[in-house]
Order: sequence, then C-alpha cells, then structure tokens
Amino acid sequence: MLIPVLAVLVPTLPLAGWALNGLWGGRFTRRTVAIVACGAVAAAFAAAALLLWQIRLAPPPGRAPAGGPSWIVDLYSWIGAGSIQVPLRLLVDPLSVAMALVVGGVGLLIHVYSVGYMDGDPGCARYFAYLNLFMASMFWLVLAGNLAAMFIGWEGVGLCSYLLIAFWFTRPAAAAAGVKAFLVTRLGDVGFLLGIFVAFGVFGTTDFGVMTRDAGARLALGGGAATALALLLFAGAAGKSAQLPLYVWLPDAMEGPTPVSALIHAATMVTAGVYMIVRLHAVFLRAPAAMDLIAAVGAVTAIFAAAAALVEPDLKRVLAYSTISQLGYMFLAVGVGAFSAGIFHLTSHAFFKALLFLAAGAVMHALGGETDMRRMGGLARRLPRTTAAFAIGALALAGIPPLSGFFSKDLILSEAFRAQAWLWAVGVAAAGLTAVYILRAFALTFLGADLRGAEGTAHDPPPSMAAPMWILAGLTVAGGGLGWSFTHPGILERFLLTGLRAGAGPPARAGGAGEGTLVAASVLVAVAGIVVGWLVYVRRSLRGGVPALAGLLSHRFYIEEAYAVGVIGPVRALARVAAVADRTVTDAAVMGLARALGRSGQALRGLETGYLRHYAAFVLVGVLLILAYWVSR
Amino acid sequence: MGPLTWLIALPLLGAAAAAAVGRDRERALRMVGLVTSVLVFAIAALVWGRFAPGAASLQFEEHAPWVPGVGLVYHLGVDGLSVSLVALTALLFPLALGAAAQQLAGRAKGFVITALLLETGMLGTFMAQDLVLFYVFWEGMLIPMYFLIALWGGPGRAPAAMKFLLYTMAGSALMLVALVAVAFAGERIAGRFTFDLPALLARPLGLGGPYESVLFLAFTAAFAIKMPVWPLHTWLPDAYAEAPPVVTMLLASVMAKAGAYGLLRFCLPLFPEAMRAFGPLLSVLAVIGILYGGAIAWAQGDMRRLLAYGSMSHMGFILLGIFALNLPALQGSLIQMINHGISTGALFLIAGMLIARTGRADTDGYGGAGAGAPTLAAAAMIVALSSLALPGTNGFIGEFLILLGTFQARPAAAVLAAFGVVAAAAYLLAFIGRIFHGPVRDGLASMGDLRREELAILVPLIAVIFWVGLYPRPLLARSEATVRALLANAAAAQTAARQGPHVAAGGGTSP
Repeated sequence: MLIPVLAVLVPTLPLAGWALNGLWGGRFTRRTVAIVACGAVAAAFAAAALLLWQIRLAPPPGRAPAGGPSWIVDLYSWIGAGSIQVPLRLLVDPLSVAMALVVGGVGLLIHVYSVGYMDGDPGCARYFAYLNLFMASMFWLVLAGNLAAMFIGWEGVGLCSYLLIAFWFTRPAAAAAGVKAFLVTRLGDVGFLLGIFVAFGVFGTTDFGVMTRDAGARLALGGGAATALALLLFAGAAGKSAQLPLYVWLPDAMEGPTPVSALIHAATMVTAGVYMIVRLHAVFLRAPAAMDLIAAVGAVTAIFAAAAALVEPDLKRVLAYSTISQLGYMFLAVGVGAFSAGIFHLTSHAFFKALLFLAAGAVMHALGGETDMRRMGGLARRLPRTTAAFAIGALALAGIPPLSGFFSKDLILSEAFRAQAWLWAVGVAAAGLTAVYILRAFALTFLGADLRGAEGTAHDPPPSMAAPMWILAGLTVAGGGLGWSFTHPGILERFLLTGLRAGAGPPARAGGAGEGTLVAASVLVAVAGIVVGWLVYVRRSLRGGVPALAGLLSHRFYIEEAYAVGVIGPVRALARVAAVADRTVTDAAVMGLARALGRSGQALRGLETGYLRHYAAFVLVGVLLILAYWVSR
Repeated sequence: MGPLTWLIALPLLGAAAAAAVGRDRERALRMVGLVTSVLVFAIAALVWGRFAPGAASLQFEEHAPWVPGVGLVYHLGVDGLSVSLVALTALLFPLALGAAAQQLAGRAKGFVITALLLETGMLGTFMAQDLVLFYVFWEGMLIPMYFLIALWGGPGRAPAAMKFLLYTMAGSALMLVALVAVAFAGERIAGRFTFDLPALLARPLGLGGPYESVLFLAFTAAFAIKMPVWPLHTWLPDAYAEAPPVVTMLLASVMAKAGAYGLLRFCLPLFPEAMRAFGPLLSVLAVIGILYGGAIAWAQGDMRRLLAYGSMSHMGFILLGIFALNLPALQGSLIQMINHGISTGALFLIAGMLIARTGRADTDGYGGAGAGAPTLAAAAMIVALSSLALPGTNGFIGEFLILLGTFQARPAAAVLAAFGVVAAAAYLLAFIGRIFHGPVRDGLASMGDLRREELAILVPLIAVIFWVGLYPRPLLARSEATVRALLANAAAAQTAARQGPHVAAGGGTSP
C-alpha cells in the first residue's frame, strides 16, 4: 500500500530540505540552496498528488470512522501517561488531501517565485530553510490525525511565521512584528491547549476519527461541554486566522518578505483555523451557540477589515486587511455550517490572494522595496504584465464572475442568507467595500500619473517570478470550476462530502428561485463597488467623504490603541512594579517573618554573626548532639 | 562496590587527585575534572540504560550497615523518580566543567575540587534511601555551592552567597528535626528505630492530623526554598545573578530539582494526607510563582535575572504538577525536571558565552548579535523555544502533561497556569530579541560565533531537547511504574489514615 509511505513523505521531504539548508546552506551555492528547497517542496507536492490519485483509486480499508474514505497512518506513540495516549498519527482523507494539495501547490509556486525575489539577499539559505520548515509544519498540520499532534504543526507554523516576519531581524520593526505575531497567536493557543484538555475529558482522546464518531453521543446538543470545547478551539482559530479581536498581528506581519506574506499570511497558515473547524465540524455542530458566535465574528471581521483596507496607504497592508476580511467570510461560512463552502473559498482565496501578493511583490521588486501607494502610480505603463496579473486577482477578490472568487464568495453568501439574513446583509455590504478598496489599491498603484518620473528603470519581473504569477492567474480564472456546476454540489464539495457528510448531515440546499436573486444582488453590489471606486479614485469626481469616519477607519476603530492602553500598558507597569517590589516588599516580608518566628529576637541576634564557620558549627553541633543522644540511649 | 557507590566515590577520588596536582597546572587540573565527570557520566548512562522500566521498586540497591546503634544504614538505590535525574546530573557536570574552562580563568584547582565535591553531594542526594544519609548529601551540596558563589561570583557575591546559605540552612534545620520525628513515628509503628526510608514505608506511618501537617511543612519548607517556591524565592535572583553562569546552571538545573525531588521522594509517601490537604495552598503558590516569575522576568534588564525569574516561573509548573496528584501531572513534573535542567541549563550556558564575549550582562547592551554570530543565535533560539514549550521540543511534553493532569484535578489552576505559557514566550522572545535582533550594536558584529568547544557543550543539550520532544517514551516509561505505585500507596495510606492510626498500627497490613 502506497498511502502510508506517501503520507509520511509529504511532511518529511520539506523537513529534510530544512535540515540540509539549515545545517549546510551556508556552504552551498545559491543554486544548490534553491534546488534543495524547491525540489523538496516539488517532491512533497508530487507525493500529495499521488495521494489524491491513490485515495480515488483504492477502496478504504474496513469501516472508515468518519463515514467517508479515510486512512490512518500511525507513526509511533508520542506521549503516554496512563490513559492519556497521544500517537503521532496521520489522517488521509479527502479533506486533508485537498488541503495538502492547496498548500503544496501554492507553496511550490511561491518557492519558485522566491528564488528570483530573494536573489541577492545574503540570508538566502536561512530564508529557504525557514520556508521549508514552514511547509513541513503546514503539511503536518493538515495531515495530523489528532488535535494534540495537530498542535505540533499548529505551533510550528506559528514559529515559522515569527521567524520569517522577523527575517530581516536587524530592522526593529520586523523583529517587533515577529514577536507580536507569536505572542498574539499564542494567546489564542492557550484556548487551543485548553480545548485539547477538554477533549481528553470528554472523549478520552483527541483522535479526529473518534471525536467525529462520538460527538453525537458524548456531547449534549448545546451543552456546556460542547460549547466550551467549541469556543476554546475557536479562540485558537481566531488567533491563528487573525479574526477580531486577535487580528492585530497580521497587518504588522507584512514586515516579512512578500513571498512569505503570500504563502503564510494569505494562502495557508492563516486558514488553519478554518481548516481545524471543518476538520472537527461534528464537534462544532453540537454547539449551536458557538457556531452562531463564529459566524457573527466572521461577518463582523469581514466588514471591519474591509473598511480598514479602504483607508490604508500601504499596498501590502491593504492586502493584509483584505486577507483578514476574506478569512472572515470563511468563518462566516463554517459558522453557518457551510463547511465545504468555507474550504472552497479557502482554496480560491489561496489562489487569488497569493496572486495579488506576488504581483505586489513584483511591484516592490521593481521599485526597490517601496510599499507606500502614495509614492506609486502610473505603473501600468512600466509593468504591464504585473498590472494584468494584479487586475485578475483584484477582479476575483471583488467577486466578478466568472472568476473563482465570485463562485466561492457567492456560495458563502447564499448559505448565510439561508441561516440568518443579517449575516448575508453584512456579507454583501463587505463585498461592496471589497470592490471599492481593491479598486482603490489598483488605481493608486497602477493608474494615474507616474509619480516616480524618470527616476527608476522599473520593469516586469524575471521569468522565475512571472511564471508562478501566471499559473496562479490561471488558477484564479479556472478555480471557480472546483465549486461551480449546473447542479449543486460542485466537484470539490462532492469530493469533500464523502468525508464531511457524517456529522454534518446532508447539506441543506434548496436552490430554486431565491438563488438567482441572491447571485444578482451580490454581483450588482460588486459592480457598484467598482463603479464607486472608479469614480472616487480614478475619475476623482466624488471627493470629500466624512473626515471623522476616515479618521476612525485609519485608526481601525482604535482597537490597537485600546490594547496598548488596556492590556499591554497595565501588564508592563504591573511587571515593573512587581520587579521592584520583589526586591523590597517580598524580600523584607519573608526575612522579617523569619526573624519574628525566632522566639527571642535578642537571643538570636547574638547568633547572627555572619560568619560561615559559626553557622556550620551550629549545624554540626546539632547533628552531633542528636547522634550522641541516640548512641547513649 | 556497586555502580551507585562508584557514582559517589569517583568525584571524591577525582577531587583528591586534583588536590594532589599543583595549582599552577591548570590544564592538568581541568583534565582531571573533565575525565572524572565523563567517567561518572558513563556509569550513570550505563545505569540509566540498564534500568528496567517496568519495575516500580528500587534498582541497583546497595545496603551496608552504617551506624547500626542509631538505625543508620548506607542505603543507595534508584527508581523511576531518580534514575533520570542521576543521569541528568552526570550529564551536566562535564558540560559545566568544560564551560568553566572557557569562562572562568584562573583558580582552576579550587574550582575543580569544589565542583567535584558538589557532584558527589548532588548524586548522593538523588540516590540516598536513608533519611540521615540523604540529609548528609543534602548539606553536602550546600557547602560547595556556597563556596562556588562566594569565591567565583560577581561583585555582590558575598551577600548573595550568605543569603543563599541562611535561607537553605533554615530549611535544612527544620527538615533535620522533622526527619528525626519521622524515625520516632516509625519506631512506634514498626517497633524498630530506623532512618531507612523503605523500612519506614513498609507499613503506613499513620501519622494523621496536625502532627503530620507540622512534619510535612517542615520538610516542605526545606524543599520549597531549594526549588524555590514563591514567596521563599528571594535568595534566588541574587544568587543566580552573582554566581558565575556555569554555577548558576548547576543551581538551576540540578539543585532546584533536588527540592522537587524531595517532595516526591519523602513528602508524598510519608505524609500523603498532608499532601492532599495542602494541595490547594501549594497549587496557589505554584500559580503565583508561574505568573509572578514570568511577569518579573519580562521586566528584567539583566539577562541572568531574566533567566533566574524565568527559571522560577518554570519551577512553578513542576510544583503545580506534583500537587495535582495524578499520573499525567506527576509524570509531567518528573519529565519537566529533566527538561528544565536541560533548557534552563543551556540558557545560562549561553548567557555565560555572551558575557564572556562582551562583559555585558545587561540586555540593553546588546542588539543585532545574530548578524555576527548566527550559529550562537540559532542555538539560543532552539533553547529558548524548548524553554517556552514549543511542541516538538522537550519543554512541551512536560508542560502539556502537567497542565493536562492539573486540568483534571484543579481546572482553575490549570487555566491560570496556561497563561504562564504566554508569559514564557514573552520574556524568552524578549531575551532573544534584545540580544540577537535589532540594529547591530558597536563591537557586536565582530563578537565571534560559537567556537568548536562551545558547540561541543551545546550540541548534546540540543540533541536531548529534540530527542525528548519527539520521543519522550524512554523517559516516561522509566518513571511510570514508580509513579503509579507512589500514587496507589498514597491513596491506600490515606484510606488507612481515615480509619484511624490505631487500626493502621494494629492491623499492620501493608498495601
């Protein structure tokens, strides 16, 4: 049977690439470093593709636990203490293979792009070592067969995110952004960790198969345990996937190299929270209140971040807020139980957002690292191909048919409408804002007057960077086919459903007359957004606006300021006070108490001579007296 | 002579050999120290490798009459509680002696002799099965440690060493009285006056009530000071910061473990009822220690104080796990003792390497050191990650099991302690960030990367970090049977105590 071998190869090949480049990368030539790193990921992607072929081919062994075809690959027993057993286990099923393909495919393209982008950086070997370690962790995350094993990948991708954000570590902003990302996501991970403990309490294990199978029996619908478990895990997901209120690290994460932003902070790692919820959908479905909260957080995050993107002057940070907003759509989807729609949007977003970031990277590459859109403009003439690529990504993001983003976002919106109309309304409003902000970014960057004048010799990127962009553009155009068909459900959904159906029940899909109206409404809003954006930012015929609102937006509703004043400031002050108090108050209290405990202060003061030999003598005399007493007894 | 006696005797012989070498022959002296400690490690590794994992009882036991008139026996043995701690101690001494050769110039003779005497004391503490023998070794590690701080420390070494000595002696004095009282109690039950721990535990002591509480507190005071437990920790920042980093490593990695080990070796089997009764109180102290230590570590500018408070915060996890009194938590605490020894030890060694290069202990004096010393930066990063319990490194295994077990016993404490994991990330990444990241400070670009000797010291520790993190089974398997038996006996003794001391005494049923 090939499946276990392939499943193990997928994460271990990039791990080997990490080890090679990490240990000996300094002695390799640039070429060797690139070949090792890209080769490892290409091989892993090939293994994942073979895995897909194998699971389509092979009948599942025995009764599959999740109700669909799934293969369990046990490596060894990792942690064991009595009844607590955590095997290192991989789970191969349609969901994990689909994710592995997205991660491997986008990852491979971005590795290739990085060869050109990082050419000339002295830390090239370290960069590719980190990037390979990220791939290994991310593959492990999606293939892990239980929550505790998943946590290895979960924290591993967080580590790589930290390392890569702070890649240019001599830049204070980059170093600080890395630490911020690690700490904020770790705050969410406290929830994840406690969720693991609750799962052990409820199920006696964190095995996904068992949790899925027993969720109905062991978790009362809407009960405390189910709600606690779902909310704790969601805390972890919200940290990793940058949802309100834990989103604050992602915009700063743009300090990292742009391919990293494309891979980690748009296409893969930040979607881990969505993936985890889909993976454990059987558990989450037992907690309707938590699901409602997830959907609400997703919807609010979607519109909030879209609004923030509207006033952001930095191109990469616009894309970062856009990612937060799109992740909000994914949480909205899973929150209303549209799990495969969530994965569909995850996939199409991986394509078009990676494309947007790579195009932004091409702009930065051409402009010597510039990201401020106020110093750009008119680049369409200098970078025609980059402009075209960005435009394709932007149209997909805006939800213009027939690009992939239209299909996946539309599916989410129609599912949301069925669940709760207000969620749909918020989603549609956010979609309108999305069209506006991406048109603004496009206009400021590529249209209008060329602000750089004759200054630079900006040109389109070399083929090694252009090719991944064109492949992603192709996927962005064609990706809708994964989810669209004349009769629901689409290809991806049918593929996933074999694994997802068990807990979720048959997907509630009425179709019918309402559907067409909903689609028309969301397309109309997107087009309206583009028109408004055009009028404001290109024709500049609609000026003004509301300054107060713009101020509020540019400060992101003062959430970061609230953190600084409400959390970080007090904790820092408390820590400083405690540090001083420890040397004065605590010490004095303990020493004072010790003195007071001595029955007679006066008598003891005479003994407190400060000479070591006296103390040693006291102890010795004491021991001798006791011994003498017993010998003479 | 069995292997355990050799473990004690070899460092003494090495110290004697070093005493015979002239004080100006530094290389020879260091070689004596290194060879001795490597031999000790070889024996300890052999003992660890040949230790039968499934058995709960003592192995490699050695019995000899010592002072029969007062019930003293020379009784050594290792079981699941101690076998890995013995191996850890034996592993760290050659590394410490190697690092000292690089970081402490001059006075090699005194250092080698004192360090080897300390090794005897530490190994003996983990192997002694007689209460008085334990006490002798316990004090036997105190005196050399005092001299290592007082003679080789920084400018404030004299008051720091004295404070350390006063604190630990206060604890020891209480323990000495208590262990005599325990022997009395044993005589009442068994009719034979002995300090031999297995003999005392052969049947429940049936102390119960306030008497048990008082004895428990006397023992616990000594152990809590060594660990240290909040608020008995105020000797620690000074001692850890003033001692040379190699000595601090031994303080944090081994001596702190002796306190935690004492709780499991003596308090849990001798005073099971008090362990249960005082569990909530000590868990609260543990949580305070975790968060308080973590917060203060974050606010420190001196890297040794930062690591010192961080070490205290991490010891809080071990204390929390011990008093959760269930299998996962206890197993977590035991493996975390090893992990803390490895990770905190490596952090202090790295601090020593930095200070040896620049003469600066204040983190604000650093910045961008990763540019000039990438290997050192990578090693520091790996060690910091293991200390902040990243899954895949050793630290995660211990804190995961501790928090999991504590969550079952005391959910609120576990939830609060889990935030200590965030605190650990905050101060350790601050440590890494202030030293290795940021604009490159003057002179740091040419600071020099790890030399081969330094790499030889750090690589074994990093290997253990990944080994335990990825495959902790050999460690967990060695302690599980002993921990299981310990918990079962404690539960049985509690039952017996509830039925009244007379029943336990008269019935004479051993569990």
